[in-house]
Amino acid sequence: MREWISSPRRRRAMLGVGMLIAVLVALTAAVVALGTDLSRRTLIVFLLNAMLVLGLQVFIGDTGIVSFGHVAFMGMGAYLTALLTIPPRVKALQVPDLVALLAHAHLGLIPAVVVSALVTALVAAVLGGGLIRMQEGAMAMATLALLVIAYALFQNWESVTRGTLGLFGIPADTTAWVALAGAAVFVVVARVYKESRAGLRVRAAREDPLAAKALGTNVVRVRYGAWILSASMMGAAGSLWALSVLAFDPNQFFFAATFSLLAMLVVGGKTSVTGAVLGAAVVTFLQDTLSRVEQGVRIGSIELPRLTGTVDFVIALLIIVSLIWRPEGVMGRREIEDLLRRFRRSVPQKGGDQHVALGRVEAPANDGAVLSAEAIDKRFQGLIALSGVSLTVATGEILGLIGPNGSGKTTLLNVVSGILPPDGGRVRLGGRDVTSLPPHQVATLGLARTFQNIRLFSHLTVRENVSAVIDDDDPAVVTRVLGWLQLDDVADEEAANLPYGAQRRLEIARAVALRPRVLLLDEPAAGMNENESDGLVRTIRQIRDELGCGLVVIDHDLRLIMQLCDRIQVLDQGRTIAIGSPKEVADDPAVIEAYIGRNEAEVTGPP
Amino acid sequence: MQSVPKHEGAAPLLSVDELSVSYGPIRALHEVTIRIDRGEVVTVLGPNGAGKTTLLRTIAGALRPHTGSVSLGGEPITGLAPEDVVRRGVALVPEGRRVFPALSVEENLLVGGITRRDAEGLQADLQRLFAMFPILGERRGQAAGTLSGGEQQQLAIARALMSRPSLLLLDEPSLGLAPIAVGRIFALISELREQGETMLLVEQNVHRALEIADRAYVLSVGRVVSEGPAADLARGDIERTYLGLSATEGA
Amino acid sequence: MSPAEFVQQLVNALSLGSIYALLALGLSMVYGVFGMLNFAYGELVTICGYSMLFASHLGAPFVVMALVGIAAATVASVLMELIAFRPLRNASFMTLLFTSFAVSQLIENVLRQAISPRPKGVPVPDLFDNAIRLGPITIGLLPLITAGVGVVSLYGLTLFLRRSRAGLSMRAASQDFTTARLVGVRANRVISLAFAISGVLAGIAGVLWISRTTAVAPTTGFTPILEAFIASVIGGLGNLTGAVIGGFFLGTLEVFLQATLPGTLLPFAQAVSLLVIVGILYVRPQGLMGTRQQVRV
Repeated sequence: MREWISSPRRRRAMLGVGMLIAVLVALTAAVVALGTDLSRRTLIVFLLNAMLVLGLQVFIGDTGIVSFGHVAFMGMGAYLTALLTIPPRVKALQVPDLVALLAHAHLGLIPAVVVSALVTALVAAVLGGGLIRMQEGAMAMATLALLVIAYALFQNWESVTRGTLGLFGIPADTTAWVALAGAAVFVVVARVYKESRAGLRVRAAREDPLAAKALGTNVVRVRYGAWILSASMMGAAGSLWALSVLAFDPNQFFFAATFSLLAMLVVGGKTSVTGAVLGAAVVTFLQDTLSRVEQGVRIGSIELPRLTGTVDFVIALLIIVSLIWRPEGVMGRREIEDLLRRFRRSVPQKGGDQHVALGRVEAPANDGAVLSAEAIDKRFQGLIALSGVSLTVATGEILGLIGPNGSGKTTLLNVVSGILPPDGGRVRLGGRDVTSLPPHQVATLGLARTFQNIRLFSHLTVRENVSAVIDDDDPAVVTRVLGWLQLDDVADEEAANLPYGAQRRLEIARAVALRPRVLLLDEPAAGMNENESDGLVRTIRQIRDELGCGLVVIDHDLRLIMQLCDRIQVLDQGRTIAIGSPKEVADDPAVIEAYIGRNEAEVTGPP
Repeated sequence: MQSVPKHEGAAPLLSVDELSVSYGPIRALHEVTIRIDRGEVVTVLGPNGAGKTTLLRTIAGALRPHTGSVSLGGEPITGLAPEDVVRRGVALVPEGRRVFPALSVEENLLVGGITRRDAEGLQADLQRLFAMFPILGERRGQAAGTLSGGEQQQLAIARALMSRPSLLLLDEPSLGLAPIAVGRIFALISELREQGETMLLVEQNVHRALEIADRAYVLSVGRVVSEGPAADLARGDIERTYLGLSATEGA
Repeated sequence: MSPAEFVQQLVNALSLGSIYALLALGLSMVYGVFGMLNFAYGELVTICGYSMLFASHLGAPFVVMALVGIAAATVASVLMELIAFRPLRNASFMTLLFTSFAVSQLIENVLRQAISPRPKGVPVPDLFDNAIRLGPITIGLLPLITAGVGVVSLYGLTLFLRRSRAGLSMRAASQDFTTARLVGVRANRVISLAFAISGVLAGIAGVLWISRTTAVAPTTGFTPILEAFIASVIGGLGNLTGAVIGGFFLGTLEVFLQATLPGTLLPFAQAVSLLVIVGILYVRPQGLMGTRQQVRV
């Protein structure tokens, strides 16, 4: 526990949680002590809405995937709890054919909520297995199907749900303090998840699933976890909700509720826990005020006419306006503690113990070739990208990979890192055949890479970018890596705000943090001037010296390549045309020709 | 190299002045200045990442410059939307060809002429282009996505010509093509040159480009580092720029 | 199922399928050109219905009612784009989706307040209740007319897209929007055109739908839009041919499920067809006609 708290990010998160809960407690106390019955009712509605929106936030906010179906889990929780808590005699009046286990059940609040949470988690686990593997558009479609199918079930499975009539006689066990407790628990759960290892990885996968995979995250698995957790939260919230309404029918779990909750999420800021609560507050308050207007309200001596539908109308208008004005929501990506920081002088992060070594990676048992690709072929719809290309890198060696545009360098990296399957040939990492392994497994076995077009986790901080890829989240390791690449003073900046050179260095830091046996750098010096690329040469040499890893570097800055690399391999049109020391390659006429273009006399065929 | 009558002393057709373009934090072009006279073929060379494609896309209106200006025939066209730049007489043959894959060859050409109002002239041009690019005529009903790389490149050039541009921008036409196809493309470009077409050619194939061009600019990391008549740009200098060696170092 | 029944159901399938196909096409068209899934699309059907009602109160014959309905849907569609979506041109997919959701709620509520939350009957020709007898086969006239109108409309649209300059611009823009602009296609015009055409499609589908249900309520557009969404995803979002295929597929599936499911499962017909759809998407996530997205590294 102490170790978990030790990370400054998590300490801030706990502060935020505390602040948010304090606000909720104060609000609850004020309304309970001073408010009317009506305002107490509104408070409970708000707290329950907050719980539901937090359940949504854990999935939609953290994974970035739209789900239309989560209200189905709310419904499941609600129905299950109703069946477990309605006194058996009243139950028998409504659903006489209910199965004996449920017919006789008469549970209290906490057991009912727990059972609901567990059952919805189970259902989500079963359904999610297939769903989570789908492409995002299809997944959104499947969640829509879930909503519609659940609704059809609620409406038609009369022996259990009493169909369109719904259930009544549910005890009103959810008081303001119970709702507060639920909301507080959910705030903690949502925030803890967000900052946890799994939560970080899921958010990294939201920002750039390919980079996350290539750096060791099993994207499907972490999203599956978010799916189950969020469904279970919806089930628990639905359970408490059922215990506050006395009666309900299937229409509560269809599009109106979905839209309303999504509105709260979007208005507040979907990636922020604070935003979720704030959105719930704003929309609940508006809904409450407006429904009174709908009933007809007196302003002074003027009586306004009844206007049905005002609520939905204004809510809808609010969504449109707020999306145009603040597409990221009121809180944007900030949490409550970030509001504090604006008024506090920012304390520069200490560089940490610079002498903590990362440790050398283990050398392979064999002849020293830590990475070898043999006779790789790759075709894209008839275009031959690679033909019989082989490549070896020894421990501690820096291999430069160069060639004109379209020669296949990046394709080769993609094959080696597991992103593309080759049409022929094998890839071995530390002697082990990794040819058909998915990218995250290749990464776990010791291969890390950077990307030609920067693929940072843009809306995560620098520190989070690094933490999201490593397993032990030892703050010392993170600090060490950041210090190495001169990123310590921007550690808490959002990656998207960094200047270009820093972004390139962060890409490298992220890959280095994996302590790989082989590091692939795809155009690390792109866009850098001479000073920067000299600095890069020094840094790369340092990395090689300390980690003892092998490196493959692609770049067009041939001055950098000549300085940095022990060996150079030249590709042209998918084939290797030269391998050797920098001097040998620079003198090779075939290389010069590949870059500058063929002499006209050598072209075959009519002009 | 054949000489084409140029309007010496006349105002340049295209004037790019102190153009600076950024992609977010990355500065892609720094105060680049370029001139092209009517009937000239100018080539822009340079290693990858030098900003050549950025230059063409900015002229064509797909990117907004930070500072600086672009004028065509004396009229400013800086910041105009791409569909308006086309109507002023600039046509771009984009990098990677970018043909409309599900449209037929003929339909691709017709889209190229979408800004034209004269149906007869359009048809005449269509026939003329089929004559100049016979392979396109053979495949006129085929979906453009099924053409080979070289054929798509021809289609992209023909499509650009359909708008009867006064200035043709070509972005790396030889990229990704087999040597024979490259030869054909450059022969076509040569033919266009003889017809008096004004062209700005971005190329990686230095030798070919210098053969065809009247003048050349060399870009490196977003700046013009060298310019002059194509014949003057000694091959040695080009090599050094590409291989990253300074003038004092040996190869 | 006897052959006679089969033919009847086939006609029903064609009829329902063409309504779905028209709507799926409208949705896919806007998605292809604008990148947005327009949740407010169903409201165009509702607006069409109310316009037909309004025309009928003025004493118009059915054909005029239909034309008024189609015109209203088209105008509403173009206005929707101009007012609500154009300011959000570059927003993210989610933002656009929510906005369209909000617009649909807005319209629904305005209609609820301004007219009535209750369904209102729309007079349709008695002719529609007739049936044609061909030997043992009885085919309802309305399904036949619906299928006919649907198919003819789709054909007409295809002609437009393939033969006209505007259609050509639209097809080019939906394949590669940036390059289309670079050859001179006017972005705004093409988008407005896409919305206008999808409005016409919604109008035609609306007339056909109202003819079946003979009533209009503020929530009328909701069911068909759901179906259209599903159909266009089956076909591959943005793919026009796929949308049409998806629409007919869904229509056929629903009709045959209705005809063959045992009584107890009948209420679950929609749920079952959705399960089938999800199953298809699991195997082919890009839809029947869609292409696997190539990730550029």
